[in-house]
Amino acid sequence: MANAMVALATTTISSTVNSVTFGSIPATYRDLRVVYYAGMQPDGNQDVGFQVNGGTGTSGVYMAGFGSSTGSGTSADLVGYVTSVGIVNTLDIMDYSATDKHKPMLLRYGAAGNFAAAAAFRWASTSAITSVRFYIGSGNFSIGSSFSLYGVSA
Amino acid sequence: MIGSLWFNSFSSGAGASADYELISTSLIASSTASVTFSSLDTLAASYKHLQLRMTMRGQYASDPESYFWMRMNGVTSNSYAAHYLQGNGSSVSSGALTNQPGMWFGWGTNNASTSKYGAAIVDILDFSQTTKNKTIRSLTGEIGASNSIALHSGFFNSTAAVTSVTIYQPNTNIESGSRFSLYGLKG
Repeated sequence: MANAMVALATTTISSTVNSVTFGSIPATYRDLRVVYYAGMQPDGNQDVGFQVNGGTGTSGVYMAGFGSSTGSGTSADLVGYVTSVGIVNTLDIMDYSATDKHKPMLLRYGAAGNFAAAAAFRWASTSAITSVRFYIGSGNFSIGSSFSLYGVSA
Repeated sequence: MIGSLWFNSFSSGAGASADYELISTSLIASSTASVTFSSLDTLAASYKHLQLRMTMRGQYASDPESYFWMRMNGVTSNSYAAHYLQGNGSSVSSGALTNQPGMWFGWGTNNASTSKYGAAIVDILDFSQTTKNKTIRSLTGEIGASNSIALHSGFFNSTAAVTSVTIYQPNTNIESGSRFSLYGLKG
């Protein structure tokens, strides 16, 4: 049988940028997975902004464990976190090519020595997703940050 | 330097090794009590682990969310347990369900939520081993009913190889539009 999870595109950043976009995503697959290991410059930390098809409309909740405490909150148009030392984020975008559903998403992320977290999101549109953009509001993704996009058949 | 990267040229995946394969997908056309993937002893004989990816909605009209459960091999006795850690946007809680007739693993929306679905990705580990009790882990959540994110673990007190997996809701039906896909992972 064919591989059901296919690497569609990947990049390792060689000069600092403040956004990465996967555009013209084909509707060939059922789900998408984005894995990104990202640091930021200058030193600091912040949420990673998210746009679908060039616009907003993603809302969600997260939970995090910080070693001796936990927390939960809401987020809008944010799908990850970045620090100067780098964080792995794995985002599953379910039914991205369906045109009869809003798009549920699941995120796992965390930073060694800092926290472990998970989040759920929904992009409130029945349109098929054709592009996703990750960006930092202030600063840049650091050199060496990597972004990979996978398609999952169903 | 402020810049951006844009990718719109994608690999076809041709030539990639097939270590993660689709076994079956069920797209629910009309509400149903349960979804079963069966004959896994033959259909999934070449795999080490299984993974379920799903988007789901329940037929509850008034409850804020719907709970999805799983059974294995058709066993309905109290042979299962589950633990969970969940956040709702304001607090984090955890709990345990022991001696249950199934494993609670997922959060869906209700049938008042129309286009809104919950999602879950579930790993069923060493499903064909006959020397181990069976364990699962799940990442699940829904935004549109009560808004939740959760991690679940599940336990089936049996060393029998898993030959079927049934997904159900304890008190209502699975709503149309829900999607369940089963994958095999080689080991």
